[in-house]
Amino acid sequence: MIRPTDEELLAGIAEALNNTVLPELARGTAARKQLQAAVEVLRRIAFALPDEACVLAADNEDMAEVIGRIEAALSCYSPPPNLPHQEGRTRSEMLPVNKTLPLQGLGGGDATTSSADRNEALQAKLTELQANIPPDLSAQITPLLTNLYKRMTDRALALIPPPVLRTPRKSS
Amino acid sequence: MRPAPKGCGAGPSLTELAQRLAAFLQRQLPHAPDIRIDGLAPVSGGNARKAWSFDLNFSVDDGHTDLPCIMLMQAQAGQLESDLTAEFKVIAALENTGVPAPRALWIDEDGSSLGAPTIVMERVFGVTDILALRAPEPAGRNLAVALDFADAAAKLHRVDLHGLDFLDTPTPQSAAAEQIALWETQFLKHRMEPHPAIAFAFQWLKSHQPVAERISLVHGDYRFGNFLFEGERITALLDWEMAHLGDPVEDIAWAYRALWTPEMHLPLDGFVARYEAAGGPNVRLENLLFYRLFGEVKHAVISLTAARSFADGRTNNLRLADRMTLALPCIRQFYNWLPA
Repeated sequence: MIRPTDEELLAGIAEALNNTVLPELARGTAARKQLQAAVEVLRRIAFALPDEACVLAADNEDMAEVIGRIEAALSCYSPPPNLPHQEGRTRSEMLPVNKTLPLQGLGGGDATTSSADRNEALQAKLTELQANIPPDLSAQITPLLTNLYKRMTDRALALIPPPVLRTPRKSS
Repeated sequence: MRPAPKGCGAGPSLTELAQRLAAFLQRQLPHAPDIRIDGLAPVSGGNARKAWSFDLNFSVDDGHTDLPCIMLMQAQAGQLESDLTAEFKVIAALENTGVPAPRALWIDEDGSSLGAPTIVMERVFGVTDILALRAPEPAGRNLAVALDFADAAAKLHRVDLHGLDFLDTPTPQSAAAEQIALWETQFLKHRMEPHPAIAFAFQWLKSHQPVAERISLVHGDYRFGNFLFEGERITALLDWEMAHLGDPVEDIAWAYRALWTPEMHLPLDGFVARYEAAGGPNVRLENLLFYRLFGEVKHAVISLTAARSFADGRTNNLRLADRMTLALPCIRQFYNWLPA
């Protein structure tokens, strides 16, 4: 059974609550505010559901690709000698690896790792990498990160429906 | 399964609350034998606290007093971890400074009298209607209020700091670092996933801290919607829970966030010109850009804190359930403004 879809159900419930229950609740009451908020959440989820999996997959591929490019840049990197803040540290100490990450799943295609788990692991890997960028690689790597975050945020924003406009109360 | 929120249910009935309030106020006014509370009713107090309005009537010696009051009670959980005691002291310190603020009256610091930490303030007349202020008309009134908003900021940022020694006092060099540390701690405590975009934003802020022109009392949530106005004048600045000592430019940057900006009536340049003309400290443009970026990150953290409190079952407020969606425009704005 595929119809009604989850998004159709949620959108319908939101519409029904908005049309039948909300008018029964007095303006300004806590119950009315709670219901309005619930309706907005249902509408948002219904709007996002059809594309959510695609966005998650796109984010995962995007993050994995950027991580690959950062790791490639780091693998070619030789720290300049005698940098005071790096003295006595090996490169592996500057770039600590979180051993709890399911690193095998980062490249994609690991059926045992769900998209959400992989997404979280990729986020963690990025967080770790960006905290340890050698200063002289910053100009090369920072744009990779900032452009990635713009793309990811744009994809997430596309899952949010346009706001319902409110009208101002009459000014006293 | 979501755990049931602790203490977030219906709370005491209005009758019970009125009894507790009367007993509390009687202790504050031991020489007034006949105190009476009229018209106790809930009013909007934002997401961080519950609010009630009431009129207090009492007689002392030969004089009778009718005092309109507002009572703010700490909510169990929300979008902020705020300290009502500090807020009460800040409001009290503002009396007779010329800064439009309500008069602080009494505090139930530990909540032993009223059920949760609570402050009582004098009720100031006016409305908070942000939608009306951001509407195209009446343009003249809305511009006048925006100009008064700049004047109020100038007054606030010139307040003598001697009565505010209970607040942490940063240096001009450490002001930004203290705020970054405060909000990064919140971020690390409340995030539900790594959020590398926000983590990177904190890294950027830490490496681009400006030096403050001076240290001022900063409101911390200085914006349209957080003051009462009547006609063309601001009668009281509200919601002081994020007040701190820091770079005054932080308030100006926050005031011009997209969600509540008065830009359509008073462009930022005009606000700054008016603010400086009214005696506000010099506004350094690099500080302004920094705090505009900081403000986006701060609001993202407020949103994820709110979402976390709902996800953890510490509040039943459904307005907080989906608050992470409000973090997204903040993150995008941060990256739009980030210097290349």
